[in-house]
Amino acid sequence: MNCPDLAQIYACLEKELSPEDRLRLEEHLATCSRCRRLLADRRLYLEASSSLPQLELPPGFTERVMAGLPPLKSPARLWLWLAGGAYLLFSLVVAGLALGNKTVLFPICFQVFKNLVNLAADLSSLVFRLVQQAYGVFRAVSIFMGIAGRLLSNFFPASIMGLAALVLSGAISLAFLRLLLRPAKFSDRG
Amino acid sequence: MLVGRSLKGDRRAFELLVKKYQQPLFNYFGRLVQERELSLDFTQEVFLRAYAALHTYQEKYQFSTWLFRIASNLLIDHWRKKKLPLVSIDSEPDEDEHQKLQLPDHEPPVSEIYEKKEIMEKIEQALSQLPEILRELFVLRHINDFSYEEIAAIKRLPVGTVKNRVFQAREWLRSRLEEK
Repeated sequence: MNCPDLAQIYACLEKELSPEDRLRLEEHLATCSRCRRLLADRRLYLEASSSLPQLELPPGFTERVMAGLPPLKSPARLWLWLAGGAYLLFSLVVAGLALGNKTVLFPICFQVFKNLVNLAADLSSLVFRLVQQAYGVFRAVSIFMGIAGRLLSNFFPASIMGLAALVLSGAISLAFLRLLLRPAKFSDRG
Repeated sequence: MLVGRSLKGDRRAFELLVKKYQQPLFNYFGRLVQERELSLDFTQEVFLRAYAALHTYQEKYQFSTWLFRIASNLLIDHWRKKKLPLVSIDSEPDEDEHQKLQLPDHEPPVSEIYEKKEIMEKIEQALSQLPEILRELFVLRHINDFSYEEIAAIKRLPVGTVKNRVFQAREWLRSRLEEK
């Protein structure tokens, strides 16, 4: 091999050469004192380049950056506004009703109150139906599991079934635990 | 993830991002702008811009790459305002540069003249004379410790061009070390 060029010397120092090229270069270095000197020289130079000191940040710089940030609109605040608005409307209606039926506001407040009661009744009925549906699904799954269990118990002894159930539930618990305890991941560079 | 939490309004999560990246960004601006107060202002400005544009960040990119792209754009605007001659770094090296790749026959071995600490001091002094765009690539590679691929993503350049320019920057700086 002829003497390598400088780019190859740097690539060798930065471990960017392929294993074959690296081997060829190492064989050459064993016989060429000029290239060995050059490699040692660029190695020290690269080490020095990558060891330049960090510049010192003034104390409290993070606080300075954070203080300059504008407020960020978040979905949590939007929900807060909606809940606050609903509460205010309800309070006004109740206040209108409390003033008595001789005020001009009473029929409007009464109508709004009636509508709110109807809305609440509809929502309760919807929730009740959803619970009923969920119970139906749960019953179907439990019946299916019972049938599957009886079928499996015909083929396997009860002790193996118990062990399998234990292992399965353990694995599911561990998976849940891992999900719960998982730390916030950095996708950014470490 | 900290970016996701910051987007939901969690300022504590963004503060952690600031703590993680303030030092690398300040090292970057400090070596490239070379004015302490201006470097601090630029570091702060990068975080302000990043915060305002967080919703545009795509998770398929590294956050550090995205942040340094903002920093690099800020720096280029600054250089343009100062009307510094910005040499294009998109072009390939010319023939002279290829000749420089060849091994020098009679170069004084810096490693035999100076200790590592002296070389570091000399690099620090010579860095201010290195053309801005080469200096930026040198700083990203050696001070911020980015890989060539990451620098290529920050600067939106081919990896080969980045390698050539970092090589140029190194050899330019090293030639200054020979001057006593």
